[in-house]
Amino acid sequence: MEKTFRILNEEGLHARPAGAFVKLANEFKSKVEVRANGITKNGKSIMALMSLGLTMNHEITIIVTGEDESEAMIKIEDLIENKFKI
Amino acid sequence: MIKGKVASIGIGIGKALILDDKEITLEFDKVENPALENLKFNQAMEASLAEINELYEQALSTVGIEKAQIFEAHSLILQDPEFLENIYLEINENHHKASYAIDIVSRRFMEMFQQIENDYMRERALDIKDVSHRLLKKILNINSVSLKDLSEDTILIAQDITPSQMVNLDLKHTLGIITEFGGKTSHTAIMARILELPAVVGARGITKFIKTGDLIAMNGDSGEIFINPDKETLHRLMEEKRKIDFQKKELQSYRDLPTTTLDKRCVQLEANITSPLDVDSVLKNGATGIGLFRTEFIYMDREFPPTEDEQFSIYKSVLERMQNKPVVIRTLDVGADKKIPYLKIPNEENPSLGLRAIRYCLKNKSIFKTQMRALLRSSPFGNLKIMFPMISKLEEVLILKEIISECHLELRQEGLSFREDIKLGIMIEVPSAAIMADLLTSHVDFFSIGTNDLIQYVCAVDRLNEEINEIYDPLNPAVLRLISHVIKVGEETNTEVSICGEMAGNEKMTQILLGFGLSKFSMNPSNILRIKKLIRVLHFERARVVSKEVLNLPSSSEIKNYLNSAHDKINQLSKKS
Repeated sequence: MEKTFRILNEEGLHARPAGAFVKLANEFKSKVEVRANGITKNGKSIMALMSLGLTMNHEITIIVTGEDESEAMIKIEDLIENKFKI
Repeated sequence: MIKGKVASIGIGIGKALILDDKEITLEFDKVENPALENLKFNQAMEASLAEINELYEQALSTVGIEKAQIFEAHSLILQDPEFLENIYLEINENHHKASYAIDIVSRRFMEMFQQIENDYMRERALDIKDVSHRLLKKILNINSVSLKDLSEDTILIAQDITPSQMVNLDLKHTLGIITEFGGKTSHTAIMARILELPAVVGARGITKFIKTGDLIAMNGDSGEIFINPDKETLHRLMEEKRKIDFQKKELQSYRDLPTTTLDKRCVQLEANITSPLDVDSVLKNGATGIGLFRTEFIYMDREFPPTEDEQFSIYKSVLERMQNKPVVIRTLDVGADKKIPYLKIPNEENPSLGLRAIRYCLKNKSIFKTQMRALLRSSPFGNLKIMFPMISKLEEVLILKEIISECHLELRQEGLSFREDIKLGIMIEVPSAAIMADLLTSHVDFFSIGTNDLIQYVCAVDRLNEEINEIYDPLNPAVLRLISHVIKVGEETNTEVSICGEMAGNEKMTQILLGFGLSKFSMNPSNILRIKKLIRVLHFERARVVSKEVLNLPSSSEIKNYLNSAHDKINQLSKKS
């Protein structure tokens, strides 16, 4: 399943928020991918995520595939809407 | 002359030391046995992880939690699945040596980062470099040039200085920093400002123009860098530096002198700090203690509150370094202009009158108890005093004491030690507390007047609203009367009173406060020696007269005029008598 979001935190996806995302993504068995500007990256890798250079108001699509995908999507949605604060 | 970007002010003159001037030489030969290279890599990774954890702890006690978190990110990078996958691929599929694999993979990632159109993100490429260099040095058995023990005055020059290098500097001999990359928001710049080290960043090509051993004169105020400067330039900069140093030194000669007036009234000058790193300047400026440690900064710029253990190690390190001198630690003062997003304080119509400081803590007991337990546990390591902000009524103090008793009970059950005789005090910054100070004395051990908020509340003026900032007036007679009242209550009941607001470090106010009877001032460390110098030429009995007269004047402008001519007036009076 996939869903599109907008980055709400002012400083963009630098090390700390990216770290929070990666930590969460790794809690699930499903594959987690992040697509932005037509590039798709591994959502379980901090380097991959940071290299997307996402800043405020960027649109991103989260693609989750696997047995716990719906639960993962709910948690990820929460995280993004909470501006990546745990 | 080359010009870079201003990052941290001050003039630095010294011999150039170029870091990383030799690139690490890597062998490109293919290997027969990838298993051995895998092993080498895994060992290097484990050793690096251990080092990074150590650096994290070190950073925590020197530059504070915010910068320490960089090393948490380093640890994530080191264990990153894509990073590892790429490296294993280079070793196992392409039969590269582990060292070469690390180098090409980290370069690949750094290139990706450098293409990002955002300064902050682009600078994160440096984090990858720091991590990969650490790995490489482990594999190639290279001991890094020690920056901890330099033998002469040095200006460090590098493409970039990594966070781990910054926390390991020899601050006695490092007199300046110049980097080729980076901007005002780079770690290097931020840390240099914290360390009061002159720094120029973004000086493109600098590592090519300068050789190790060149004489460098740099001006952190203008961004100018002079390489082997001519006599005239060198002379000019040395003269400027000498002036700055002379002023500092002249004041420095007051460091160990007592703070007493001409008629032998003793005064304590303490320091306000926001991080453990400030302790250096507290000691350098001869403070008699720490009168205000603002702990909210430990909570800022992170995603969740600091744990009990994190706080414990910060408080402990400050107490230990202050060696039994008093350290007043103020509990979390959040809200109004100090925002901490994860604490989720709702937007309020009137935040400075809203849910803030102790009010927030009493409604969020678990966050407060975490801090209280950390404070209590740190108490055996020095002379800790605990202070509560924004007290407006007695009941708050009583509830706080109940919570502290709860913590005592818990700690005892867990077998953790703490001191039972810790002095508890409150900030006097809300008019209600100031007016009924006499009723509070039997419940607390000390008062500290927070003049910044007290002025705002007494004059009913938002101190951040520029339209009306002339109403925010330390010389408003009501403000002075209230302060004088609190100090007098302290004298009468033998309750210790200090002032920890901006007013304490303001030379224009020193005489009045002294005259009110104040004997404890707490201020930014950089103000201490100036105030000490001033107090040593003041006369306490004369200050008494001045402050008494001031309290009878009806307006701030008359007070200002009076103070300006006070000196002459008192001189005349003393001649008559």
